[in-house]
Amino acid sequence: MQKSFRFAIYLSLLPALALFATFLVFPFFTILVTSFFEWRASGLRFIGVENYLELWDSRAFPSALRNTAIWIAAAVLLHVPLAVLVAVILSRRLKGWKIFRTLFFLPNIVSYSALAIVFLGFYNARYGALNQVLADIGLEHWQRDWLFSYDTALYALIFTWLFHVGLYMIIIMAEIATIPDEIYEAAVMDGAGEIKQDLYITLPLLRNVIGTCMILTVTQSLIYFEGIFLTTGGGPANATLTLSMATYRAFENFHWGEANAIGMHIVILGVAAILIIRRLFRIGERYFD
Amino acid sequence: MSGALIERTSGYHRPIWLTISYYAVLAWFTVAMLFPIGWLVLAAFKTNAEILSASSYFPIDWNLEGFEDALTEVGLLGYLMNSFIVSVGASVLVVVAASMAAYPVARFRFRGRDTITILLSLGLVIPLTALIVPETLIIRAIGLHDTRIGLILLYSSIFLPISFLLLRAFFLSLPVSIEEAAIMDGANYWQILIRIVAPLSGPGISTVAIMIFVFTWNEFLFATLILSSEERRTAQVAIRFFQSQFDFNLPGMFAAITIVMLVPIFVFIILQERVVRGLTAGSVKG
Amino acid sequence: MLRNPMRLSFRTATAVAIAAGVLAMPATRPALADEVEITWATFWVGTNPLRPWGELLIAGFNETYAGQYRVVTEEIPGDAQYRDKLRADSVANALPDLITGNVTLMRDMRDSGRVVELTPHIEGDPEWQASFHDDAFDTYRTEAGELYALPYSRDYIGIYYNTDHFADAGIESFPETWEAFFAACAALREAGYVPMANEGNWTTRLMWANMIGTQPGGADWMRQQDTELALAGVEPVVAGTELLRRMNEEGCSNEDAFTGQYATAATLFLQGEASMIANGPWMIPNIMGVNTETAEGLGDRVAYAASPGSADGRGMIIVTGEAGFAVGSQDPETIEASIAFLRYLTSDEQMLNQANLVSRYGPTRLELTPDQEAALAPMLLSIVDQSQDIAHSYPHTGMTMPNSMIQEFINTWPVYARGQIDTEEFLEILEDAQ
Repeated sequence: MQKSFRFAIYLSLLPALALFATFLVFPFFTILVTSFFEWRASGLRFIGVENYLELWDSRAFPSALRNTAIWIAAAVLLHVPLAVLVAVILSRRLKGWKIFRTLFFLPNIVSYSALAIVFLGFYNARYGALNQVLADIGLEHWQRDWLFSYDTALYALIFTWLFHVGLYMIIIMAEIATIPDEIYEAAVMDGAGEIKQDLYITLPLLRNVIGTCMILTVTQSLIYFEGIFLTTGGGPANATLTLSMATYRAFENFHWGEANAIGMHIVILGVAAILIIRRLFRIGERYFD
Repeated sequence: MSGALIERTSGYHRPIWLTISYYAVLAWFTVAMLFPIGWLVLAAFKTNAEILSASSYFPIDWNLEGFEDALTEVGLLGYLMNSFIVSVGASVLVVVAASMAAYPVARFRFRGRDTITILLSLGLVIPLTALIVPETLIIRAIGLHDTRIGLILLYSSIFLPISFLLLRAFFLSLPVSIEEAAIMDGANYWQILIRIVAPLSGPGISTVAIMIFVFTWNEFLFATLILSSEERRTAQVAIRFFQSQFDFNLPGMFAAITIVMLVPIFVFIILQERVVRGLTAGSVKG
Repeated sequence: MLRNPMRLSFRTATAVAIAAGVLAMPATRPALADEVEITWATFWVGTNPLRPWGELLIAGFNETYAGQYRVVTEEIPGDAQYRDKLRADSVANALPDLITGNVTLMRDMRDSGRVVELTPHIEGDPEWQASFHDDAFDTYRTEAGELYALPYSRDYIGIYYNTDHFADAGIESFPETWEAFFAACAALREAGYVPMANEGNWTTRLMWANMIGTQPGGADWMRQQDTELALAGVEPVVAGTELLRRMNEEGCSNEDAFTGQYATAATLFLQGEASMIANGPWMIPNIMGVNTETAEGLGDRVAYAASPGSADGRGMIIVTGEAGFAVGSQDPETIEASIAFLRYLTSDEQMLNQANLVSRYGPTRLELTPDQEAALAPMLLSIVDQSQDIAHSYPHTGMTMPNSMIQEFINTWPVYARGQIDTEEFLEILEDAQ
């Protein structure tokens, strides 16, 4: 059976591989190779592992690792589970569910440059809505410069996207939409309530797609920097510096070799995370034989 | 023709506390969404000073100048078409290429299968800054600088790994029985992919299409790097004309953002209709 | 200090010039045969304050050189994207003919080795060369004596202050010493104003330059260029940096002084909530309400002063070539056309346009008739006038510090200003960032 398909299969892979080979292979090798070079406007100079040694020795690098870990933890432990929760609830088709679905996707439609201004205003120390609300409910002593204080900046920033689950919500809802009804029939007969159905039937069936969402959220967290760049820029004192923000900073300062040395960390951590998540969620263990 | 979940719950009466809990969760998320989105739409009616000071959530005077500037000063409407062409082109290309690659990887054992998955996954973790210079060089080398097709191809490549991964997950959960039956009937690979798998994967494919449409719609760095002529400028690039280092027109910018937002909202609503329909009950066996 | 008729004439001049620019816009005609076409990649677009001047430049150049040269633009909004693009283009050996930007970008272009050396072109035209101030080329000359960019600006940067606020707080004149400055801050605060608008980036760094530059030996330290800078333990730097921290400690600043966004500081001042802001003369049109909403009548209530200083006198940031043009053309024809553009750019006519439209002087010896002078913004004239009797002049940090050190300042300043680290640690962190 498979033999006759072999040619078609390789033909089918061709467009994706062609795109990949044209646009992604070269950048990948650029990161790898130039991370061993001093790359400035004036040109390239081979310096071995010096970029790496300098990086590991720098003040910023441990902060970047720590912040990236916190960022990813929030994405994995809170962001995706919240998306699953909302997707499961909306799939119950309560009144107005389509409106909610569109509403919850809206923040993904707006570019981050706009949201950055909104949240800069929300957290502002002088006129921000958050401090005003705190004053209104008598919690003046909680007021602070949320985005630009060392202790709160990272968490304030994480809260800007934590509840914007629209993207993973629609992915999971699409998967739920393909679950055939028959699977639930026996459970309904037995009088299992919705929560039981979701816990024992829906969730296990979502294993593949949730695992995929985990891969996406971890890799996106690793390379995301726009929202940080447009608000705190990684400050104060590296409190919000992530690996990818550090890459951008080095790039802007024209230390391209150093930027790509940080980039290599992102690539290696990313690949490791992908392999681990694949194993944990047993993604892809189902095919023709 | 009813959707899967309605049937699933028929004959079952949801307790009131559960309904209340559901709506409580939805209400919290609605606030978390509406606060920023409402804020930025309303900002289009405010003034620079109002936006950057302790003003009320709603504008003091409903000021239409921002919209006027968005439409006249940067001629936004003209650029929406450019964005639309690029986004539709990239969404279609990436969905086709990614489906064609994800299906065999999800369904068949063949040599190089895992290599391809890992290779494409690498594309998920290349930092954007590491792409700026190489992509500029590639696009110029293949002679596609300042062309829409160049930008479409680049977007398709950048968003290929994410689409591949998702479509693979969707294909994995399709029941194999129908495909097996088709193979028994002598259908070839392409017939199965186009006539059976593609229609059954409607929700997944349209969800990926929406994602890519929105991603490319909002992208502006590569749009700036690759397109230089004014007649190909995209709407996101045009929005940036409202902000410079020492001067800014925030109402104009928010008005432009509000207008530009409308297109993906419509695309979302139209494409998500397919996700509602899902599978007809009884058409497949798990 | 500000007389109404002058302001009116300034406004009228601006309006007329903008109208002329807009009218000149449709002058996009197809290229004539034999016309050499050059491309100017520009971010002087959208809300950029330089845009009206840029439009006049293009229209004027294309008219003057019709049939010979012609400049077309590639518009790139946003300074960050502009830099990303130009640096990528330099690696791809695909630079546009004309590149404009601040000193950081010009140095990137220098390092790329892909821009035209301008010395022979300028020396080949003694009249043109003589039109510049003697020190005009210092910023963009390499150690080997090569000129990699041409400056178009000469900035006298002081501190704007709201005269109403000062009167209200009982302060008679702008403080001449730092002690008087802090006393003024206290009085302004007492009167209910934010004494000085800050954002922890550009305007704060200008104050930092003032505070270092007016220390003994500070101006010399500020003038170092292209060398590894020492900060920790350097007397004027330590003293100046601690003054800057004091500004924050004593409540001279707004509560949201660490956003890094220029808009934070500018809005406070333009809305009449803050009493002072450090910024260049290109802010004058905004203060006068051109293209901005400002507090009612703000333009009449603002004056522009040199920085406070130490006992021996006040100081001022004076920089030539904070911004410039580089030429990326590769063949003799386009190089010649680009040089013609630079010559046109620094012509008296265009330098006067710049002064009128963006309140910025050029690097040339521009002789103004009394009428022309009367049409300029009074605040611009006033700051140039004050530059005659200052004790210290020095550049700002953007001229002398590498970009990485400036980024590190923005990053670490909030924790230093709040006393979470001491001066020595702060300066060491900055030192390590270069």
